Amino acid sequence: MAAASHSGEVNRHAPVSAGAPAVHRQSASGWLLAIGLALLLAFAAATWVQLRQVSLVSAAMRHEGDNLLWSFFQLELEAANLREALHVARRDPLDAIGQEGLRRRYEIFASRLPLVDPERTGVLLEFGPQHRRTLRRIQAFLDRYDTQLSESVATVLQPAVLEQALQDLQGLLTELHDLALEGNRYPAEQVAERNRGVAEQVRLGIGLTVFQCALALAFAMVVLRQFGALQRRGLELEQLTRRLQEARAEAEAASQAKSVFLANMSHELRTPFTGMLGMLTLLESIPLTAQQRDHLHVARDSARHLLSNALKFTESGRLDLKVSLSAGQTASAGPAGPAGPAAAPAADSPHVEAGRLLRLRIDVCDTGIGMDPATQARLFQRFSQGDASTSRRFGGSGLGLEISRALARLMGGDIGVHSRPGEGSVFSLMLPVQLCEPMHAALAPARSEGDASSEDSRRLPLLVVDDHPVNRRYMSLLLERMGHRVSLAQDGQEALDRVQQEPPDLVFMDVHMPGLDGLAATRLLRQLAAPANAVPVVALTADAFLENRERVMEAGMDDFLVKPAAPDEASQLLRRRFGARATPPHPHPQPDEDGPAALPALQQLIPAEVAEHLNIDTIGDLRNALGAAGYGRLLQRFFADEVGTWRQRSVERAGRRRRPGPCGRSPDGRVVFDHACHRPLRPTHHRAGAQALRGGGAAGLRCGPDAPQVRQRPAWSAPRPFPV
Amino acid sequence: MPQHTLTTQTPWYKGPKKFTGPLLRDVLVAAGAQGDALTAIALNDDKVEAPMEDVRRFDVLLARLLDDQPMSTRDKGLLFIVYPFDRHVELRSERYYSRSAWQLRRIQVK
Repeated sequence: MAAASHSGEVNRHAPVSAGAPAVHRQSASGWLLAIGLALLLAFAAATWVQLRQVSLVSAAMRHEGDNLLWSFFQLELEAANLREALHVARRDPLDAIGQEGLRRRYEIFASRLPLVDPERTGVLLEFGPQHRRTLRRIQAFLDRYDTQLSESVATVLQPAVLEQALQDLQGLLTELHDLALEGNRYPAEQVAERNRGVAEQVRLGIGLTVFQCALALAFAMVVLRQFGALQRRGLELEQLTRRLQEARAEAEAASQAKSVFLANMSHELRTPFTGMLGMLTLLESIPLTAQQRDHLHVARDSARHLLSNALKFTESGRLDLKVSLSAGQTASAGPAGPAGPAAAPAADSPHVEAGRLLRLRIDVCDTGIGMDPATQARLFQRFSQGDASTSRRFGGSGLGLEISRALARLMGGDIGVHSRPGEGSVFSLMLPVQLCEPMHAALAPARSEGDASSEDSRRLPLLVVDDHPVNRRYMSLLLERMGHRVSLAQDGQEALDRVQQEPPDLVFMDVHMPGLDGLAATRLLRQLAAPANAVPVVALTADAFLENRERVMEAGMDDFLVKPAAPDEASQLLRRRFGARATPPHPHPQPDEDGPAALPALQQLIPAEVAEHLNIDTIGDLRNALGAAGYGRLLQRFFADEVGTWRQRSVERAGRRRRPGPCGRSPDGRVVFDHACHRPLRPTHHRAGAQALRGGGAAGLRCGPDAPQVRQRPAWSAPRPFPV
Repeated sequence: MPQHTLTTQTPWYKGPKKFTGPLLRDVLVAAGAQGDALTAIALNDDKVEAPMEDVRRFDVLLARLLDDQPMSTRDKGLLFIVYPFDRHVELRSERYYSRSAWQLRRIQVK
């Protein structure tokens, strides 16, 4: 119950948490915006307050500068001074100095009036009507006496004027005193007011500061929260990455498993395909109509192609590419057909010497639907196609171009594409190619050179090393048939001895042998003294796989033949290595004239019994390779060599089994076979080719209750001589 | 004596005014006055003291013309000590306003 409810909660929680970060981010950024705005406003307000303070103080300073209060008292003082001067002048009207002093005093008094002008003092004082009237009366006084008391007037002052002026001034003095007192009172109030204002400003400032602090704190908190969220998200991302990595590892493991499966499957496919190829080859030796022959060729070519290309590629997931030219093959390029795209090969320079490296470029243009750049970019990726919908319309797995490009790059070239939607595409294959000498000249056997000794010298001395007598014999027959001199060795040690005694031109070396195996023997061979250490070694093995191939190359082997060695593969290999020497004139023409008559013993077999044990595939292969006579000799030696063992074993088996098995005696008492019924196969040799050779033996016999029942005639009685 | 012109705001006039006259520094040098402080005495016997440093540091004007017109006693003439208030912000304070003596009658140097 607990587990169930827990998982339920998780499930409910999941979608919420998926949507939450977005909402959270949104609200957080909203908060940040609001706080930022508030901060901005607060700062603006603080600035305004400060500015106001500054302006208040500076205005006060400018006008306070000359001390306004002092101006009022000065005015009153100068009025008193003027009154004094008037008194002096009235006492002695003829005294010029007294009059001059009076005029000076008058001017000084007059000069003081503007300093208490409301325009100047109004900033700090509030003038009531009373004070304005006082100022107006002073101005009127000055206006009246300027014509007599001013310095600019030089007339002698009359006592009456002085008397009048004294009286007028006396009246002003009281009011001036009041004005001074009032002026004194106002600034005091102003100061108190200003202090109050400053205090208020300071309070406002403190409030703003506190507000700013709070905002900053809030800001910090939001930032912290954001930071936390960021960290969480980072953590989540890390977890996600880890999960993705795990998932990727799983996917890769699955892919690996698939590859292994494919490799195994293709290997399993190889077995029946080998059989099928044998059958097809055999069919060729039967009289057929032209059409039948044509069909047969198509079938055989398809099977070969599948076996050699598709399966190899599938098995390893990669491909070793060996570029070689063989006789009779000429590069050709041209229109693939009336419906196919046009191909235009364009070498950079058409006339060049052999050995020169050329860049071959083949453009294939079409007028199809074309592709946009994005599609082109995806085009060469595995399992990708033009687009999902075209895969419906045009089919395909999306592997072709990837494989093509991989092959082109393996050869040092490339494949590219230029395309425009709706206008078609141009696929370009670029390859570096090296021109070689004309093939026919290099490969044509010099048959005109006649005498026996030179012919003999052109025969290759070859050494075949195999622990199994049948395989030894098969190879020796095959190679002798080609006109070479073959010596044999049973194991690695014997091979080494032989190579030391008389180094052959080439060694065919079985890889798996008891005792000193092929790999070890090759390694030792490479350590021998010259020229023995330079002898090329070709591996013979049933393991057709790349890893094995690499392993034998590492051991110092030079080439590789898959068992059973097909005649054309063996001859191609020799031609590759020895050129014209690989095809000496046939020293032992082996016509089929000795055919069935040469095999009296085998003719005594009961047909049904023989059919039961024939492996027709292998018989076809061998018959083609050796000719009828050669195949007959192979059989003879095979039986002569192994008959003792088989008799012994078939007797043992007959004793163990209720029913006589397919391994038994022929009516004349000769033991026909079998070898593989009793002898366990080495696991590594449990391969298609190996089974045919080792199991049925080179004679092409097979055992088992499911062996084919229909055999019209012995396989070696071919209808016509085999053309090699 | 070289005449200088100084346009500046003052506490005593509305708006900037143009003052013209010799530098006080030049006048004192011409008079051969030496000392650490000078005392300006006005027509009404107001006195104000200023360090000689002021004269050295600032281009203090002994103004005779206000807006190109001779100053009468009534216009705070005939002579007016004017500091270049607008040129130096530190001058715009009570200390230097009070040292700007007008209706100047006499200068004593000690």
